[in-house]
Amino acid sequence: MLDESILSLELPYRDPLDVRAFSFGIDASGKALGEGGDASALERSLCVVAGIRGDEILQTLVCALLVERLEKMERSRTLVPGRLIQVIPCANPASMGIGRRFWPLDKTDINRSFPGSPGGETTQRIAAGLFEKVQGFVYGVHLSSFYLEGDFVPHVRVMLGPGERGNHGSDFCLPYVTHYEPGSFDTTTLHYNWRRCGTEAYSFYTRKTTVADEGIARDAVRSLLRFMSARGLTRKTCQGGHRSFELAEHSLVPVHVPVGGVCCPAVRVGDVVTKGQLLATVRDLLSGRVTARIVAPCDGVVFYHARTPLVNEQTLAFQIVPDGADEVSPSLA
Amino acid sequence: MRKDVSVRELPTGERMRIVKYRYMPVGLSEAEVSCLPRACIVTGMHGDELEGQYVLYELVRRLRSQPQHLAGVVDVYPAVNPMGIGAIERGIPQFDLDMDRIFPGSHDASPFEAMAADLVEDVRGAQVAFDLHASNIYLQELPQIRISKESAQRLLPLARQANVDYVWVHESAVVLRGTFAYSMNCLGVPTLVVKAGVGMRITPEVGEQLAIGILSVLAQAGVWTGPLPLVRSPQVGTGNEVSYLHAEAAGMFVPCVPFGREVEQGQVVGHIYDCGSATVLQELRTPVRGLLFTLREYPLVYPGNLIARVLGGSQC
Repeated sequence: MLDESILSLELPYRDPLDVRAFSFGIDASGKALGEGGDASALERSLCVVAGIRGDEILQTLVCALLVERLEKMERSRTLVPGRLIQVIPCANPASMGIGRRFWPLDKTDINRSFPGSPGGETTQRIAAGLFEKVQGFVYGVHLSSFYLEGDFVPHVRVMLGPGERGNHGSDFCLPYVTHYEPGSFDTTTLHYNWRRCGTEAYSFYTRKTTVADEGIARDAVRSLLRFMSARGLTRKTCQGGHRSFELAEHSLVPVHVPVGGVCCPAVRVGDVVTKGQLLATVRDLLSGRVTARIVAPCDGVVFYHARTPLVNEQTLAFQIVPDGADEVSPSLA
Repeated sequence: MRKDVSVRELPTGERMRIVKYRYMPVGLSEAEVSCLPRACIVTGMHGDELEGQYVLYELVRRLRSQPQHLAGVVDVYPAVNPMGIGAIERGIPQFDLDMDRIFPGSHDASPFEAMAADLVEDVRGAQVAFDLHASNIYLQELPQIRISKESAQRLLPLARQANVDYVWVHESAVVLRGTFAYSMNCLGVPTLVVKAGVGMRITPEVGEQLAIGILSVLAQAGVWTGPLPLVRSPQVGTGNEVSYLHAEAAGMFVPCVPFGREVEQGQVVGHIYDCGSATVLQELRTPVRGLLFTLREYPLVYPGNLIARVLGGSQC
C-alpha cells in the first residue's frame, strides 16, 4: 500500500489541508506497492472517493474499512497484478474536522466545483487538485450523499451522459441501480466530470450518511469488493448481494407531506408496502393532534425516507419503487 | 397592495411566504391593469444579501411619492428566500442547494422548488424583470449587471439604461441554467441580474443609484413616465477584459487602495499578514491598469480567495 498526500493547502491558524490517498496493486514482477512495486506501470483501474462533504462520515468509514481490507488483499496477493486501485477516504478533512458539511469559510460545496481551476477560488483549487489525481481511471466510485436529508435503500446512481461509457452498476449487487439525466447543477459534480473525461463513474449511496455504523459500512465494502471481483481487479469472490433492479429515477413515486408538523414514520426504507398502507402520521407540533395520515399511493418498496422529524408542507417524505416499474436496460447508449 | 405569491407551512405552524407588493396607476382596478405593461423586481434570493432591500425602499418611495407617473404595474418581491434572510444565510435553511440554482422549480419536488416554480409563474408575462443581488460578505462590488452572451443582444439596451458602472457580458455556463434570470429570459421576460455592494450590509448610495437605474428602465418599458436624472454610461466588457488577483497565502488581508477607482498596473492593493508574527506573507499588486470594481471585504483569506478584479486589461 502506498499512503501519500495528494493535495495540500495552507489554512489560516490551522494545520494545512492534507488529502491522503491509499493505492494498492501488484506490478508485473509480483511486487506489491507496499513492498516497492512500481505504481506507474499499473493500469489505473479503480478510484474510490469519499468525504468531499464534511458530514459524509459513513462514506469515509466505508473507505477506511476498504483500505484495511485492500491492504490485506495486497499482502495475500489476491489483487490481480497490473491493476491500480486508489482510495481517497476523506477529500475534505478541513470541513470534516470541524463538523461542517461544506467549505468552512464560504460554505461552498466542493462537489459543485469540478473540474475546478488551479488558479481559481479555494474550493476550485481543491477540486482541480483532486480531479487531477483521480483522472484516467477506468472506473470511478464516489461515495456521495443526497441534497435532502434521508435514508436510502443502498444503490448506485448512473448518469446518462456525458459521453457514452458502459454501465456495470449491477456488479455492485446492490438492490437498485438508478439511471438519471443530469440537471444543470450536476455539471460541476465529480461524477459528471469523471464521465466527461472517459471514466465509468458511479455514485454510491449507503443507507445513511452522518453516522459511524460499522455494519452498514461493512455491507458497503462487500459491495465494492463484488464490483472489483466482477471487473477483474481481485481474485477473490465476495458472497452475497442482490440481483440489482435497474430503473429510471423518474419512475420513483414521490410522497409529499400535505401539512407541516412532526412526522412519525410507520415504515422504514426497504419495507414492502401495499397501496393504502400507513407510511407516517403527521401531528401538530404543539397540540399533538393528527393532522395527516400519509399512505402509500401504490404497492412497492420504500426507497427513500426523509430523516428529519420536523417536516414542512410538501416535504418529500418518501419515495416508493412501484411494483411493476419498468426495468431499464443497463445500456446507457 | 400586498399579496402572497407562494405559501408553505413550516412544522411549527408558521407559514413560509413569498410576498409581493404591487404598485399600479391610481384609480384602476386589478382587471383594468391586466393589459398594462408590468415590471417585476425580485430580491432576497440569497439571504445574506441585503443591498436590494434599500434599492426597493428608494424605488418604492419614488413610486409612491409620484403615483401619477405610473403608467403600468410594478411588482416588487422583497424576500424570495425569507427564511434565509431571517437566519442570515445565503441559502435556504434546511436545504443544501442555492435557491438561484433550482429554477424553474417544480411542483413535484421539495417545498422550496415548488416555491421557485410559484415565483416563475407569477413573474411570467412581465415586460421586464430585475433580480437584485448584493455581493457576498467576502467581496465588495461596484454596481454592475451580468448578462450572458446569448442574451446580450436583447438585454444590453436595457442594461445600458440601468445606471450601473459596469455591464459584464459573460460566457454562458451550463450551471447558470438553474438561475431565476435564465428561466425568465427563456420564458421571454427580459431579466437583468444586478450585483452591487457587499453582503450583510446596506450601502445607501448603492440603493439610490440603482433605484434611479430601475426607474430609467421602467420608463423604457412604458411603466414610468416621471422625470429622470441622467443615468451614467456603463463600461461594457466581456470576461476577457477582466483581470483577477487571488490570495496565494493564508492570513489576514488588509487593503490599502480606495475601492471603485482607477488603479495603475503594479499598484499595491493590499497585504496579507500573519498578525502573530507581524510578517507580510504577500504583497498584492494589480496585474493591469484599470477600474478596481471588485475588492476583498472579509479579511480572513485562504489561498485562492479572490482579492480584486480590475476592468481594463491594458498592461503598460
